[in-house]
Amino acid sequence: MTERLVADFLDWDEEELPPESKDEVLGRLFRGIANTEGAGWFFVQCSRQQGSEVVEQLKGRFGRVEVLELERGAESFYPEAMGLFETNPFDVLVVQGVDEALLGYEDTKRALGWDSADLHNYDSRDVPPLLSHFNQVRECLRDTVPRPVVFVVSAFVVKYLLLRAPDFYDWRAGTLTLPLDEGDRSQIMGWTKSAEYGDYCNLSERERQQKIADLHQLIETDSLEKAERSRLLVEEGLLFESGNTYEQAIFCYDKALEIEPDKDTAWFGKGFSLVEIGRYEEAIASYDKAVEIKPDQDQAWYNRGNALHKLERYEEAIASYDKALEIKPDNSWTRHQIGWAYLIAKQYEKSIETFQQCLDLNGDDPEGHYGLACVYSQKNQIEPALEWLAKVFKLDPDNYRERTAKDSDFDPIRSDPRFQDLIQPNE
Amino acid sequence: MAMSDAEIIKGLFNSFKPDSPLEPGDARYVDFQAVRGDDDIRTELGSRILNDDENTYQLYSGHRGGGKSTELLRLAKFLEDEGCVVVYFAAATDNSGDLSLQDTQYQDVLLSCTRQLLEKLSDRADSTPIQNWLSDRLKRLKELALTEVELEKMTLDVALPQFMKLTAAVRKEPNRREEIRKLVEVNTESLVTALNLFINNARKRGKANENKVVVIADNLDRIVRTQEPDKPSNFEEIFVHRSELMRSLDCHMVYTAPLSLLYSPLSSELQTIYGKPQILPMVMVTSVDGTVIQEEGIGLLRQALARRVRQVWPELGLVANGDEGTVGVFESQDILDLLCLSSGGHLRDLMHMSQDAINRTLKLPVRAQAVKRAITDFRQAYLRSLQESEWEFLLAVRESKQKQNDDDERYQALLAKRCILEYSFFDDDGERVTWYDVHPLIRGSKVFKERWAVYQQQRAQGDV
Repeated sequence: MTERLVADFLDWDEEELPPESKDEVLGRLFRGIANTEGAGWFFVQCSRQQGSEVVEQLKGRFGRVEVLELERGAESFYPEAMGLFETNPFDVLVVQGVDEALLGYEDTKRALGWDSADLHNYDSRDVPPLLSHFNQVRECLRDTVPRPVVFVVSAFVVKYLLLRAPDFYDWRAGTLTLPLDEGDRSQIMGWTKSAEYGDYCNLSERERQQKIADLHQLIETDSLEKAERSRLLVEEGLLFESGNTYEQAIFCYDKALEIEPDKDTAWFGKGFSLVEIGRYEEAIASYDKAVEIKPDQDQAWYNRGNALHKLERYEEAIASYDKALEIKPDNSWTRHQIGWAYLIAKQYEKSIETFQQCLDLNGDDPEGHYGLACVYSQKNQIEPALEWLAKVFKLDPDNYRERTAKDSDFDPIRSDPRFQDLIQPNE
Repeated sequence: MAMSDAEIIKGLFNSFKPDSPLEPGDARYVDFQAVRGDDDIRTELGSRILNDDENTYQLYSGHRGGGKSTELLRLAKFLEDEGCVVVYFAAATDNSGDLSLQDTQYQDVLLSCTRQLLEKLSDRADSTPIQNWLSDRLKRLKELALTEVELEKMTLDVALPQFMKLTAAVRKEPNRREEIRKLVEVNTESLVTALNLFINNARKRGKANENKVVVIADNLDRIVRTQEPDKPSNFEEIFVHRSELMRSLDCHMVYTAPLSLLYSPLSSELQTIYGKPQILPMVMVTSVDGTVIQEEGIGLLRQALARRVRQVWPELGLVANGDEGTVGVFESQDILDLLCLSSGGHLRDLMHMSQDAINRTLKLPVRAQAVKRAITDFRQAYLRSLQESEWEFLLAVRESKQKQNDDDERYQALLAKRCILEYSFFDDDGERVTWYDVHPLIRGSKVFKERWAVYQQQRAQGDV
């Protein structure tokens, strides 16, 4: 026999398979249940709505179908199942509410962070009691409840079972993922279209993870248009970003870019997340792509400037800020950043000029005043520095007094008693 | 008598169920010795027990679902045939209540062993020492509301349920767990003494050749690892810090230990305590260079499948032969081989995917698409268990076929999740060679192939 390489056998991948329809998946579930002698555990991964439909269909198809609903924070399942089987012998048992039981587990973030970087700590501390229970009762459940059991769960539960109840999950008869139907799809789509980034930030951690799970299911299981898929991937990235899980966000943006290399929002999001984790050079490259595709994005130019600033490439940072200003001249933040960049680059006159411009545009701009105070302090000109500082404290004493006390820009004049007097809150 | 396709499919579906270890002598058992690096559990663990006059305390480990329990049951049978008194028990999974997987500690292991020994040896040994131990602690047990038994009534029939109650309470009632542990902790020495009297009694009363008592505690690897910050994990506590207790019983002991523990920084310490641990590697389906191993590799997996198939219907072959019109389960040899190779030599994965492919089939034979779908489905489970931070490590193992660094927790996690598989064989000089590879289910995925290409590119540029 000629020698063969394993690589020849693996020379195909999942993409060559056409997606399965909901009916095909359900058909497999029903066949599996019908064929099972003794125990057999099926996991149906689907939305809540679909779960109820599955239960109805099972009831119509098999003789005695019992439903066991786990409560929030439930820690056991076997005694209940066994009790039910003794009093009410069933042909098929449906278990719902595993999601709820796990959500009740204190560490919900971990529970739902199926893809998140936090998971590297998965095996320390604790196991959710219900999952440990699953592992533990595996043999007992097989022997004393010798019937098909259908667990109706959402995606995050499957991930949890994989990682924290592997012994139990290893004995499954199958995991069946139902493609989302029209209703679910339009609901999730609708939300991503109407919600703004601010809404993402206002989500509780649990809500955020639920949204991510929904979105993920939509992205993974559906035959979406390419443009729609990449849009949703960007939304998923933004959701991760709003929860400060930047690596995951970057992963989503990259996936979006695989589909649509010119997706400027993905480049923009990627740049933002890269900055947050200190990978400035890569961030700049991402913003380069973003502004190349869409040059009129002042925010991209601004963020790009910030990343350059972090790398102490002040000239380039200022050039980038200038671009942002060209597009949106009344953005005082951008102008402040330019002033600061000049200050750090020790181009004091330019810095003064820029902060002055801020004041020309808005005479009550405390940051502009503060910038000027800093420049004069750096130039060791104590009188004008104190003058500007006094004006700052009139405009916004609460924020700036504290900032002044800590700001090293004032080190040259810090020991001066007049400075010390000025920053005393009771003065 | 001919069977209908539906009947055959149903039979196959159940025959490929992944949920029971094979009992010794089961017609479905295939000996994988040669491809697993020639380790026969009977010669390795078994001979040490038979040949050593001193008690041995040994660890046995392997990937989840790789056939450990099947092998341990064979060991039990072998030792019994050799005249040993063997107590095999699947700790942590017994209905009557043994270990809590939640946070098992060493006291729980001792309690569990006590109960099992009592149950298995009470007809051949005098259990008075253990009854006395219980009697002496009756007051405290009553305070814990664990017993209503009166002193004068303490007999074996009474004592055994008491231990069951203790172990059940440890498992089921977290509130009392701590109190019971405390009770056992301060009384450990006396309990061990009582147990050893009991064991020795069993040994003396046994026939001449029954002078070895062996306890096989299976499934200890099922305990879930827990760790408080800055403290040793429960594994470390049980297997290392309290090892004197694990070695305190006056009999031979075989414990299953979590594979990840054996590859942790504690491995050398463990070796000092328990001797060289026996690890059940995967069936080697390819050589290190990726060449398919036919007869002794996938051939044996085919045999394992064929035996299950024949049990359903003796005339059923593994592969359909269109020319001769014979009935077979799979449409072609290639698709059967794809299935075997995709399992990476892991038996449960093989059975599992076969079952899944069968369930996608309305009429035999099983088509290529059904097999590929089954593979894709199981692949998802592996891919989803991977963390982003583990990829780099995974690619490095694929490149080098070696584990990089024992101390890296990612390595232990990947082994525990079977994303990395261990193989071993003997080279021409008789030296054992152990190597590692990424699970073929992961390797065949689009995402792995893409990342692998990038990794290779970076290596070529000298970036990695």
